[in-house]
Amino acid sequence: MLKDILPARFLRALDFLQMDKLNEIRLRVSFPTIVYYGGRYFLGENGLADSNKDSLCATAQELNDIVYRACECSVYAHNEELKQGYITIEGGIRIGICGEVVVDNGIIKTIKNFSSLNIRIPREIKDCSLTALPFLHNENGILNTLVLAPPGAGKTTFIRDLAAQLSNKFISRNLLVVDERNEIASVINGKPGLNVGKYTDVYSGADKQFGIINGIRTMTPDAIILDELITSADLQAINYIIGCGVKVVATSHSRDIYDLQKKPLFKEVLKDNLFDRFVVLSNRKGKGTLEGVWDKNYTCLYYG
Amino acid sequence: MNVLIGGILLCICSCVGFYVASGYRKKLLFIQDFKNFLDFVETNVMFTQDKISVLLESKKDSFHKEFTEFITNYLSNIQDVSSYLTKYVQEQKLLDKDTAELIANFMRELGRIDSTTQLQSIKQANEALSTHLTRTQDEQKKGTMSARLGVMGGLALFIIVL
Repeated sequence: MLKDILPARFLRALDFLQMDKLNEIRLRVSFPTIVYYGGRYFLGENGLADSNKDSLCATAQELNDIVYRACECSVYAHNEELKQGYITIEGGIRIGICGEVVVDNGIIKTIKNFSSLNIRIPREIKDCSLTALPFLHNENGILNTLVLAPPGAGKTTFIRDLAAQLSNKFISRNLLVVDERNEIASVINGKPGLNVGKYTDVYSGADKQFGIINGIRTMTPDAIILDELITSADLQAINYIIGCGVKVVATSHSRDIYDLQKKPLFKEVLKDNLFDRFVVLSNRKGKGTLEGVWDKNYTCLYYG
Repeated sequence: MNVLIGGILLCICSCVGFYVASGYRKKLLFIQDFKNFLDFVETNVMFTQDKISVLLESKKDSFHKEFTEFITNYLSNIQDVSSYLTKYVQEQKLLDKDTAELIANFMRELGRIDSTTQLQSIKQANEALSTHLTRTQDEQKKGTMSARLGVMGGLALFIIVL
């Protein structure tokens, strides 16, 4: 948790804040620290600061120490995550990392000399998917669903709650969460730290392709839930899931369906009508605002 | 009376000899333990990639007393290893300063670097340590000699007193 990784002076400053309102801490070497606390603020010695002059500035050593502690004093054990620019710690807290990328023969070896960290604290918003839920299944079960939202608008929170709701609603169905970054379920020692439902299996830390192929072979899921479709390999994996007769719930960074249509990567997927439902979230009325649910013909089923 | 005085002198000389010898022995055992520790960490970084604390906890009791103590203290200071190791080198009585510094430098970056660099660091430490090990093995011979000299000297004094 945060108290295990942050330097003492930052912890003292955070003591002045209500931790359940804190969403994000952005630390940059020699520059003011920013917190997302129902808005964007500077973090000073006594909590929120009025100007950047009063803000705490992290040192390079402090950033290195944060990463070292987040890796439980074993950076080598988190190298694969580090190469992708993040580390996830207990409670699903994700630390995004920027620094010097070490490349050898075109292969990323690691990131060193960290220059900035983005510490994101996940929030479980119970029942946040309830409004959309009736549109995401029919009498035959769960529908292939793509959740769209810009970064930080609550996609992961939404699919985490959706997993819990679906798991409780369809007890006879097997749900599999492929949690590549360990953010959805935050599994520690085999036990999910965040609620994804009692009847949900979780593959954590595995890349999507591995999780999907092995999950389908071994766990016989009726539906697979995964986060952030980014690469063409991810979309091939989606094709594979649907081809296997397994339903899928996934997310993508997009403001809305029209933004999604502009992404070359998604053209084929949209043309093939792989997804039955599109859920659009935003930050308009706070994180995870449901903007609407659309079907595969882009007919609006619900407008928020 | 002379026998008693001679006996006491024999005991004192032998104890001094064995004490000097045990210092060399402890030093050698410490370095050998550290070498075993490097091999153990190397295997784990290559394969299981378990966390440092898990590795050390699982292995610490299989070492000799001095190295186990060092590992236990390292673990309890793991959040601020650098200051602990600086103090460790400064207050060193068992090891030569350069050996203590070699060990401290390795431990200082243990767990702070990626797996490839960590493996290189283990390899380098292992290579550097072999010189120290050879030197300590030679010193160990001196230790055996000290124990013998202690007993022989004690016996000589015993005979003289008699």
